[in-house]
Amino acid sequence: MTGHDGPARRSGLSTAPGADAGSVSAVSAISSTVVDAEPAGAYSPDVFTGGQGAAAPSGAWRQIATAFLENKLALLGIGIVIFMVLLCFVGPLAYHTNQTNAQLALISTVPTNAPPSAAHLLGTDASSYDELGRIMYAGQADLEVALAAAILATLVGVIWGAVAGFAGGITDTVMMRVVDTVLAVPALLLLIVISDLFKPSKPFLILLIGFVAWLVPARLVRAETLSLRTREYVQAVKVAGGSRWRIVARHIIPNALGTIVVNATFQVADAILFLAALGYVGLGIQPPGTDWGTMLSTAVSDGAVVNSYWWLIWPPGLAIVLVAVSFNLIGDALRDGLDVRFQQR
Amino acid sequence: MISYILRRGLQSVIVLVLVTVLVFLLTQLMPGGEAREVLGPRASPAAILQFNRINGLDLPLWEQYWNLVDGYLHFRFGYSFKLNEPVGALIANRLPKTLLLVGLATLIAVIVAIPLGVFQSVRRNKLSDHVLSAFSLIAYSMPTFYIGPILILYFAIDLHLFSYEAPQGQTVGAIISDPRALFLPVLTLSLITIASFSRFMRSSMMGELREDYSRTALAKGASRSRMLYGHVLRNALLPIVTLIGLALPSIVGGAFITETVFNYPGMGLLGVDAIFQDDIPTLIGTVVVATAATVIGSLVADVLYSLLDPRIRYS
Repeated sequence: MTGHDGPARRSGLSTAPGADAGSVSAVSAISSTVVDAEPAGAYSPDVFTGGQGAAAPSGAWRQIATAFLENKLALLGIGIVIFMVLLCFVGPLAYHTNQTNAQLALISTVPTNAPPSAAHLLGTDASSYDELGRIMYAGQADLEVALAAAILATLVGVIWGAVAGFAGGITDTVMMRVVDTVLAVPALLLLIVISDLFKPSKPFLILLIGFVAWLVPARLVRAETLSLRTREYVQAVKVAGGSRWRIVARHIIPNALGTIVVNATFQVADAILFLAALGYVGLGIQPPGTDWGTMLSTAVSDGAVVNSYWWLIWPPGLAIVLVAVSFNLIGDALRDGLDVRFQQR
Repeated sequence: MISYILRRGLQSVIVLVLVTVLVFLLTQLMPGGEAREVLGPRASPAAILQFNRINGLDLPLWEQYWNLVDGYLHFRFGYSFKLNEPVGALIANRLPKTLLLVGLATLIAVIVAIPLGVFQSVRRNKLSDHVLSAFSLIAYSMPTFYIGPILILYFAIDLHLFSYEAPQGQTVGAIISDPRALFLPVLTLSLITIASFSRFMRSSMMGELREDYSRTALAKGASRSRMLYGHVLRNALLPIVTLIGLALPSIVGGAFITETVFNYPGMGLLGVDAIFQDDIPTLIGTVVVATAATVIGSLVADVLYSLLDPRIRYS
């Protein structure tokens, strides 16, 4: 995990949307070490190094990395995430299956609802699709949407929270009331109504899940900003004539990085669960695509439970739980690692 | 105190107003509008004009919005053309059953999670604590629509212990009188809540155990169990009230899914069926009622908390 230090995390990054990039780099720090295949967001390097200098010396990052490495559960989590990414994105290259032909059951000799066998490692479903191949195929969409939605939510939440906390006064009050308001609405129901009115596509699902998920990072970053903006070095930058935007982008956000990274990790887990729930009520990735929640829902409505076709129930659910638990484990470990840093200051 | 309750109440009203504005905007933005939704894609322009006039859809926007809010205040949620019944009547029939499911699941979650959290905090970092932590972590990441089918698969289909379908009774009384069918839906909905509540309870207890007063109690000669149950538990319990309020949105969301899994004849099933039937008035009606119930529930929890904990001074 030396990837937590500078250069390694710069690999695989593309365009830079500017000063609010601290958060994305945080997310991609995880995704570029853990999930190489992920199209990560971006940040501009000098913003980050500036932030790193202000946040903690590189030795502290190494400490975090060490604490993280000693946490066996976190390693398990990372291992599972790597495994799932490889399974979904590299797996289909080795395990060829047809996942797009809706008439598969009519044209092929493959039986429907066949139990696991040598030819079909996890059996087949009611449309003759190979279950293992379908898990891979659905997983690509699940992982893409969840990671993108988590990045989006973190970005929006960080900017919102930092601006509210730094501006203070009436701006802060209004901005945080908006957050409280949306938080009071059951997110799942909101998602269901919106995606039912506008039939969901993949980018739309990303926007939608990001839209309900940015609230928590916004709150966390605001709280962090409130305490940071009174610190001496921030006051010093103010006195030295640094602009407000510069203070937020180069000093506040990088120092709130720990909180942001931890939360971004939990966001991925939540996004996986949200997408699965949407899929279960028929509003996930639409045909010919699919996602794990949709697979479960299809299996149940095709009678897999009543007929005890366990191979159609366990795998998609297990995929959801494994990925969600792993990201929760990684988040827990990161939080513990960062606490070590705070205690020693 | 009074001013806090008033302010908190006002905030809830604002939330509800914003929700109605959001719903209104969404229906306005809906591709094709309500007339096309009901009359079909090949309806003549004249028929659409007539439909709009009859249903007040040709009025100015603010008047349409007022009609919507006025309707909600009188429990009128439009008409379901798919089910050929007013949405308000459909919801009135289903809502008590959903409240029963949510209430039972929350009650059981609290009853199970509190002793679990206390037990874990007392035995922290021992094997039993780790096992229970692992359980709650997994249960927390387990969607209701996964737990549900698996419970059905083994406990209903294979072992015949419980019924694979929720009670289909018309009234709340009929549903309660069939516990064998009610068991699995309630268990499914409460598992996730048990997981998050017990995690919270564990850390809440551990926080209180570090406070000076618990050491003082021991120093005065109170027994360990008196310290735990007489002093610490009472303080650690308080935040649970707030937690229930905070957890309500996810419990209600979970109820929608659980009802779908078990074919439980509540409001959630009505809403999810409406998705598959493209029955937009019913879907919006159920979501608005569920949201209102959640907002009111959270308000009650917050007000209760401010009454229970006089240490808190709201400025």
